[in-house]
Amino acid sequence: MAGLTLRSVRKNFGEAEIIKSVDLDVEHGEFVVFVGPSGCGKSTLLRMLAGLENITEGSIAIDGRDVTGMLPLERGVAMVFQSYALYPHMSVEDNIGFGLKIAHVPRPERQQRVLEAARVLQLEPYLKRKPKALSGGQRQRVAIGRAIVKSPKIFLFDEPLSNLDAELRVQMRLEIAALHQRLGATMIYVTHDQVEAMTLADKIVVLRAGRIEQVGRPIDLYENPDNLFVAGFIGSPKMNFIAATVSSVADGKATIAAPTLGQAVLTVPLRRNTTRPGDEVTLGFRPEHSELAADGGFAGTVQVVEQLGSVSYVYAHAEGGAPVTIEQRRLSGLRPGEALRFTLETDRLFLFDKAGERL
Amino acid sequence: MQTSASPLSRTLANVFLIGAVLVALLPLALVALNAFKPHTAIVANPLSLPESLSLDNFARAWNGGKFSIGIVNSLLLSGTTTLITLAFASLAAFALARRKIPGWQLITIYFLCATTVPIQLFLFPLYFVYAKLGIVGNFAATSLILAAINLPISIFLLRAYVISIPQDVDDAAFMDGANPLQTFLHVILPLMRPGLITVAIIVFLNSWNEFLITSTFQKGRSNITMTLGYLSMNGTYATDQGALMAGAFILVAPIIVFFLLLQRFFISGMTSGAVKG
Repeated sequence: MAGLTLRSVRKNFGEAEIIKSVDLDVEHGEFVVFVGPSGCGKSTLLRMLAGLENITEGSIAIDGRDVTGMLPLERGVAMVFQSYALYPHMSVEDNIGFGLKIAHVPRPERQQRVLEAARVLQLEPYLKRKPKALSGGQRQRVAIGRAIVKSPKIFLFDEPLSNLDAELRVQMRLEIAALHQRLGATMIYVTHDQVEAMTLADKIVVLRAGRIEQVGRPIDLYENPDNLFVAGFIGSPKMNFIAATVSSVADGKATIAAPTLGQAVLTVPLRRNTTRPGDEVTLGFRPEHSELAADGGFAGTVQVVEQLGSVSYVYAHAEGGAPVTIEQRRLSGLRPGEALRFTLETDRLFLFDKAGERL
Repeated sequence: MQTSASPLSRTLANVFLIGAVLVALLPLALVALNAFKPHTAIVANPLSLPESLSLDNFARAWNGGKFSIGIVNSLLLSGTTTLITLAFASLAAFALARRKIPGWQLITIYFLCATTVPIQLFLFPLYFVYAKLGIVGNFAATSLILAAINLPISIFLLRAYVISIPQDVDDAAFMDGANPLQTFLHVILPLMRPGLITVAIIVFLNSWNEFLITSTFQKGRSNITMTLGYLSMNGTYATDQGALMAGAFILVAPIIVFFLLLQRFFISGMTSGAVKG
């Protein structure tokens, strides 16, 4: 049975359609990450799951029970806010226990559950402190504690790490992953950070302009994107996109010419057989699927080299003028202005039609 | 706190502030000074120092202004007014700042208009109604009028205060299962405390000094407030400036004590720690 089911869920703010008919199934215990650019509706969708925003149309079911229009507690969801949203006048203990107090849970049980949550999050030494006496990471833990103590069926995280500095973010990311393993609860996590998405998710939902572009395992989205948007959004540095024309189609493969890249022709495997010779398409390849070569392939000129230690990214202009990013293992000896040649792994190339759909 | 102002501009600012303080405090000091002097000494030289710290003036003023009655009534009237205003203004401010109320702009405009209408307009009809109901002279009934006068400005002040509290905190309370009233009582109201104290001071001061409404509605010897009692001294004690000064001192002393007590609670940054800051 599905943990969470969304059917034709829509949301309008006045005239504006923010969420356009979303269907989604989340398995019990899954870690699902919503990603997308700013304004894609990912936070709104999360708030709709939380019950903070009502939905204009459609239905939400949790464990097979229709929860559309129900209050958060009735739904069995708890949320961790981007801003933490702690109650500044209450101690850590009272912050975590506030929901239980409202629910009239007797004091001894309340204290025990708060202690339990604090132990999981290593917050025991801080129970009597006010939020302002805590560090960013500790505040975030209190916010998570406030969710844990309710033993929800589904945890909702709204960009919980975006206010933390880089080091703490990595640490909290690992903590959240560990928490998921430990609790085994369904978690829905909104972020625009694709490292968080790739590392945490069992399943990524890519959203754009209120629509789901693709749902899948992180690696599937990476290796097998459904469209230009997902291909460009997942992966860093971004996938290279080159305008090209189909010259011939045979045996599930298309031969294309990409004059902005260079003279050589490329053969690209196709997923569906709808393309015709003469079609204008977009060729996509990831930086790590190109390789510097002594001869053959395409020529270009180095513009910028980024040395990350383990890899280097060479930003170059191909001989036809197209900007390309090429990954090189370890340090690069290339300097701006130098000429280079590169080849592409032909079985790792993608073609997209004019509408941006994968071919 | 670090300031980037140059030493010169800081000195100028200090000079200005000291001047402002003197302008505000000198009359008060003069009243305090003359409260200890007999009438003749005041008339001879208002700026001279008192020869003895005699409390005779205070005793005469206390009896003449019937302050033993007045102080009870003033405290009851101002206290009740403050409580009524805070209760209603905080609820209205929360509703106007947070709830999506259809036509809230109209409500806001209504409150704005209310602040501009002179109270004299309502005086006769109100008195008529109060007389019919037989509640003229009742401090609770009078404080209802004073609260109504103070409500619009209090609501505006507190609404701005609620708006400064992050909405996420309300959302978190909602996720914790709190209904709007619980959110208000447990979360918003405690966070509004500095705003509530500001409004309390303003309203208490306003109703303590209020004259028109109180003189109209607090009829009868046993219902007079300190302000009215002091007024009644004016005729009989015209030739006793010492008693009048002492009376003025008695009149303003409680409000100064009240302010000093509450000012400790002006805590800035009450909401720090709620969200990333």
